[in-house]
Amino acid sequence: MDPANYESLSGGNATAIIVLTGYLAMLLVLGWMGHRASSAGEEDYYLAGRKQGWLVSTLTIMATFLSSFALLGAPGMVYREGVVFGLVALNIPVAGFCIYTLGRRIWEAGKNQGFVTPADMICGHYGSSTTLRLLVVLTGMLFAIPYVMIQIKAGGDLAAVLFRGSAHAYEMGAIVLALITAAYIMIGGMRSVAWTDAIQCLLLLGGMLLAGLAITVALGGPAAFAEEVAKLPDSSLTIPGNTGLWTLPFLFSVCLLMPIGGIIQPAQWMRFYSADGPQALRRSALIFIFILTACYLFGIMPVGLGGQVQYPLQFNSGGVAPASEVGVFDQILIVLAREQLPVLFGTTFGGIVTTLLIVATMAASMSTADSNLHALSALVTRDIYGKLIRPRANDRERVWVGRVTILAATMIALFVVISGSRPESSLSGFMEMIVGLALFAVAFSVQLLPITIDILFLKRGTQAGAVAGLGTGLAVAFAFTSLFPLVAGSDSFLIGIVERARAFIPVHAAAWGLIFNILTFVTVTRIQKKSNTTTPAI
Amino acid sequence: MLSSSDKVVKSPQFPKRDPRRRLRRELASLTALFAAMLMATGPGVLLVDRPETFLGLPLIYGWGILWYFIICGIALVTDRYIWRKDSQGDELEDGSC
Repeated sequence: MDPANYESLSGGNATAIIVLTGYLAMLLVLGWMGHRASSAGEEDYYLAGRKQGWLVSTLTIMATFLSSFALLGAPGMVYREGVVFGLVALNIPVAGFCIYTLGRRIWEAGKNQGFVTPADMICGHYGSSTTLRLLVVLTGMLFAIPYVMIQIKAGGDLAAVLFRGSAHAYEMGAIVLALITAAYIMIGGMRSVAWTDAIQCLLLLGGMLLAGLAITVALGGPAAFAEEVAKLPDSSLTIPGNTGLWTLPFLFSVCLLMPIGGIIQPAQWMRFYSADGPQALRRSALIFIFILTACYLFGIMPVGLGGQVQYPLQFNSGGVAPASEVGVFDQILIVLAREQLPVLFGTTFGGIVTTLLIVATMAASMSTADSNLHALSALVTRDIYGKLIRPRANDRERVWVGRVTILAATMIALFVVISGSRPESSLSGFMEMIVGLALFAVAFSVQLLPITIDILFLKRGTQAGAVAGLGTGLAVAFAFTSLFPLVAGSDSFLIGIVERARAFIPVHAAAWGLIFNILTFVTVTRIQKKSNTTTPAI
Repeated sequence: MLSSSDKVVKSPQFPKRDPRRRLRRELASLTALFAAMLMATGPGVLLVDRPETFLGLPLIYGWGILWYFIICGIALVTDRYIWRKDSQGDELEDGSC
């Protein structure tokens, strides 16, 4: 590296540290302000009193949906696979439609019957069932914890690039992000989460568009950019992408199911409850569809493709690898910002733009981590502690249990992230890319879809059908994830069955789980109705 | 005692809506969305799966942008004929879940 650039980058590091420190301090202040504005009680702590206006609702829904997937995972995947991942951006309108089609009805049920968590509504419909409630909580955990891990990992990745050469930079970045996030949620509850989400969402959206614009300019403008992109290898410009992952069935199943899984997960469900009315959700849906999709198509895509131009991929017999200067696919945006922008725009302005992108990336991570940790605390507090362990606990006690849950979940996620970062760890492959972790998480949350559709539209399922369907869906989805071989053993006969099934129908794990979920739900419901007996509460 | 019409209509200035008609419209909207997704990310992609460019953009990238605008149109129509009316005061006839 040119020594002159190294010095400028060091100066840029100081700027980034100062701005990041100020940003993190601001989040803690917002946490405190949220605490001051809150009244005592669970409904205020978890749902901000069901009074969130359309603007905060919109921004917090978007911020919760986006995550580090937006600024690290997606550019990393575009960098690795090419234009095919641009089609994945079209999953966002599907999520937007779900916000109103499902969210409006969830809101109404929550308002009329005082629901706070997804399990409240699901068990309210099918009858109080311990097994069903625990399955719903488990589903929420299986989504939330990997998603929190993604965000903490992103903090580590960010620090690793920012402080390259420093020992334990990754670990320190992960720890700082985790602890600051946990702190302001514990202090201020949903209000703090929503207010910080609102600011973080604006940073995120701005960061996505800024990144695309900056990289396009860095390559010489739109015409030059297009000319360079056209020269990329054919595999970068066609399906199934450079690694062959994005076959049509896989692409279609992800585009259809990933957004649904991302919308009916507990944190978003609680945002529907929190809205002050259907107008808030209607506006959220429209803004989500128009603006968020555009940010991906016109902001993120140029970053990944520009990355391939500036740092050509290495194709070898083992597959495809990032350029040595990049190191890790998911770091392409940060590397491009650090290396190219100061050269293009000069030290000062380039440093400012780079810092803004880093802050936006941090915002992306924290906005999703806080929502999922907050939702997780609601699940544990209301659905386990409040219903099964200490039903007589008062609001104040429950809120404190929620805070302890947030801290415990953060520590668990942090431990797994730091352990998995070691190359010798059995989890290192599982945690390699943010998009992989995100797809793992939504494979579970999407299993709530059959129950949700039945509750909101069909009203034909039974409690036993719901329990059997959800349990089967979770188990099958897990069998088709990359974590299953670690649990079952690579020589298990089940692995062989899964591999053959996947070769026959190459769709995502979420789809496999959903197929068996629906079949089981319908079959058990029909059997139960046919036998015409009432299922006792389990 | 409330009559059945009082239970259904929350805002007297809006006429009572047939929930089945509303559901049919929603289903039509979702069908249009699904069809768009089939074209954009499903078998429709095979029409443009070539390493060529259109107006300087890779074909597949341009395909994604095209279907983004089409889906935005579907969303606008859905909002105009379904969401806006629904959010402005009508209660769902089936009430809560």
